[in-house]
Amino acid sequence: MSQAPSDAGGPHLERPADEAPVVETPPAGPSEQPLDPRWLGSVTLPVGGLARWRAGPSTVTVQRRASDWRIWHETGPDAYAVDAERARRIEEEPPDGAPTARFSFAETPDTITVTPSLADRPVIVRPESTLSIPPGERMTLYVSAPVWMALQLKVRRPKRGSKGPSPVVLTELSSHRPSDTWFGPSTREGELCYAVRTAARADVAELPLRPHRAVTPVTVENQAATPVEIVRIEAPMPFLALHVDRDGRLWTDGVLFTIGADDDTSVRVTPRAPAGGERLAEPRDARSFGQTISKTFSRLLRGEN
Amino acid sequence: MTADAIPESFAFLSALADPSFWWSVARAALYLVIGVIVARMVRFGVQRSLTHLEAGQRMLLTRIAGYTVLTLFLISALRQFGFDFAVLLGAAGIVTVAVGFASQTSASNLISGLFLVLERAVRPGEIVTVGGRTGEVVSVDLLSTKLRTFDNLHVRIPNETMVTSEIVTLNRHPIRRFDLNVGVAYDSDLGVVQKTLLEVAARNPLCLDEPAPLLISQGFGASSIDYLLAVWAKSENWLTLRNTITREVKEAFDAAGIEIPFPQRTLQPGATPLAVQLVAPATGGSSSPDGGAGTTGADGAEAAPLAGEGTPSASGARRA
Repeated sequence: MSQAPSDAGGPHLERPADEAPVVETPPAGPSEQPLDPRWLGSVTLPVGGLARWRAGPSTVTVQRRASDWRIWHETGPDAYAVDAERARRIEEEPPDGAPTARFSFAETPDTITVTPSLADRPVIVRPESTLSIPPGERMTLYVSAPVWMALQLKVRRPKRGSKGPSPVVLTELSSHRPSDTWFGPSTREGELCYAVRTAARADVAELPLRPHRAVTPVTVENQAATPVEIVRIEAPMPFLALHVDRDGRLWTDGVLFTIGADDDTSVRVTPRAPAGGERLAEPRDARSFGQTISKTFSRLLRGEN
Repeated sequence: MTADAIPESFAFLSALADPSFWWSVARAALYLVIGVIVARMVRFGVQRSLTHLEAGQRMLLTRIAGYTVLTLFLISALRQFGFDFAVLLGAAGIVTVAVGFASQTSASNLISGLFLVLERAVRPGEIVTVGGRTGEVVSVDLLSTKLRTFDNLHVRIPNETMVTSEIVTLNRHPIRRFDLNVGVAYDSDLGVVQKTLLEVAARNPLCLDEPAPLLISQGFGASSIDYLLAVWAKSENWLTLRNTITREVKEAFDAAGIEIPFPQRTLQPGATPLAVQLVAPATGGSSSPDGGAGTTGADGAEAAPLAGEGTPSASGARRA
């Protein structure tokens, strides 16, 4: 297995790990969720009303009009911004320029809900430096990846037998669009993933609390007779559930890679709900994923790429 | 017509009255009916068993299997009437040669089409470049392959041409590389240039982290120091990456004060300096002896005419 290049997460992109998060805490409104201290929640708007929230580098403004909902999505240059602002009504003019998206209704629903969701592709992350796991040892790395913001409305369904309005996800906006990357043994075989340029950390305390990023604990257990060098790690985000803990930090389920004695690698999701926290989102993909990932991961461990 | 000929002309009527003839007809019809049923079953079976193949290949093999079975049953049916296929095959050989000469091009295209389908050289939906034309493959038929170019032209390429031409498929693989050639001025800080280019690649979300962007020095050019920035993208995003990264490199170079130079040429005179002399503009009323430049201006400034090649001038500015 080749040695990982040392330029992952270059210094121009990194922030000091001990930087204190600056989080705005607006007064709680009647429609806001108690466990979402930063940017999650619901806002009820009259026709013509606007609401805004911020999550890291992303600022989203929505406007309810008589016949449509309009959404403006702006992303700042600082991918590691720790700012956050709860979704709340504002008394301002709509942003200049055309909306990012519009959704038309015969009669617009009045309440919009913002919830986080995980990436729709796996996320690839590199350890901060070359990491070897001796035989019989196990190691947990904490990977931080941006989340998406799902915008939901409760839509009346004109179907016969439907019981009241049902929530519909209008769109999902990335709080920060990660770079694409390719994960596979060759340029002809593999899958498109997102690359996270922050290095994986062995200590969760080293990860600053960023409201727009979720932390995935990835554990690698080496049961083989020889040391295993970790070059990159795939966090299978579509198969993980999302939680929030009491501090407002977003967590996903854990992932356990086990490298067997014959170099076969198995992978499984380890459900991990933080104490006192809340489950925010179910996995996007509820299918079994172990075999596919296992095959790819095993080949990468053996250095066939 | 003689009286004896009439019974001979209608001799076949007596055959119709023969029960064995009708028995043969019944058996032939039975063979045909069974043949049609068996052929359908074979086609169904082949189609079901070849699910791993593409639609075009499956259709081709299904048809070949079906027609083969049907032909065998047809031959068996005709044998009930006493057809001698040895004679027919002999005649067929001669006919095949004649038809083969007459339809040489079509036959060549047909066979090429079979190879194209079986080899899976191109597939509908792929973007290919054949003979300088780039477009999306609409269909691969037995005689020709149809392309739709990006300016919405319909191009029919004979399969023989497809087989003998170089075909470049642009989106067969899931990811693709874009090579950006860029030259920087000789007075640029090359460390800053390299860092800037790699940062641009790292910032563009469509540029893949892996395979990692590649920066190759192309050497000293006539007017610039040349670099090749090779970045990867998903095939669908290739064009967008090509457009965005070119703009981003220009903007990053502008921000960093890195110049992308125009072609430059430094002129050096030979052993004897080339004399160039400033000449006052001509005004009306007076003219120089040679009727051209080098006149005495209204302000009284006087300048000599341009010195000839290799002739030193008495005064004036010299430029190399």
